Amino acid sequence: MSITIANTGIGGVDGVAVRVTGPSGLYFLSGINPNPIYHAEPMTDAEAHVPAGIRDQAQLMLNNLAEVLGASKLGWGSVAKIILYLTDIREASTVRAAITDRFGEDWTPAFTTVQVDNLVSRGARVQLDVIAAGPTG
Amino acid sequence: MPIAQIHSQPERHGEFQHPPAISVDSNDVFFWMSGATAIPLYHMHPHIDEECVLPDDIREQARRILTTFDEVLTFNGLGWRDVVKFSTFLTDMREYDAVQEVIAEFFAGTGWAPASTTVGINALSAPGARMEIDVVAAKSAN
Repeated sequence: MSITIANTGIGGVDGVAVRVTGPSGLYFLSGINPNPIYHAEPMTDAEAHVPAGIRDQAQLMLNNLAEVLGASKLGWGSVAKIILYLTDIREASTVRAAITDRFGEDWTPAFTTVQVDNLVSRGARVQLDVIAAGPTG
Repeated sequence: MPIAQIHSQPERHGEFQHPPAISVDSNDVFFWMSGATAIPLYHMHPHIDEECVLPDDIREQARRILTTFDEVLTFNGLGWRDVVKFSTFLTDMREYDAVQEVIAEFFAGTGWAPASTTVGINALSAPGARMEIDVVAAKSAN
């Protein structure tokens, strides 16, 4: 199994595609939010509470992504595709910087960013949708 | 690798309607379904008014959508146990809980829930449609 960035070779441009080859395990993640992964339905007020700052929200969200990747026995380099949902597209570069910090310079998933009207928890401004690939087993 | 739910906090499994992740083997057969709103699965393009008269009740819209997927799954020899990912698009996030209740009705008895993402969006393609669901299913190759 291999997972590689297929890019245009143009410096500074994200990989335009990620290629997964060979028998592999594919992982479909539920939406990753700044809120606790395990929460009541509907969320309690405490669970729904998120910090106002987009940087803090991004860090909490990425901590959750790290937890789910860990449970799947995967690392950051296993992430094939991210859909980033933002309630304010002007915060994209701030969130992307936080994501790049975690992934490091050597790996960039295929990436889509869109602005949405609303997310499930009150006050949440960011959510990730993730597909990852790892060894079969 | 079996198609399975992944829990990062297994002891809290029962509290949470949707698992944090689902694993699927790349040798399995994947079904990527077109997004469905509550209008008929087969409809005219451009949309015609007669097909876009929809109930105001969000639960009824959800039931129509899930009934559509029930047909598509059955046609492909699949059931709700084979669904690995739901992406739900709502034009009014306040309807989230009602929609989740209807989704749970369709999964009742399967002991299964797919990975799930929900976002609030501005508008959908069909007039009167307040929600759309996008589904990925997988069937074990073995």
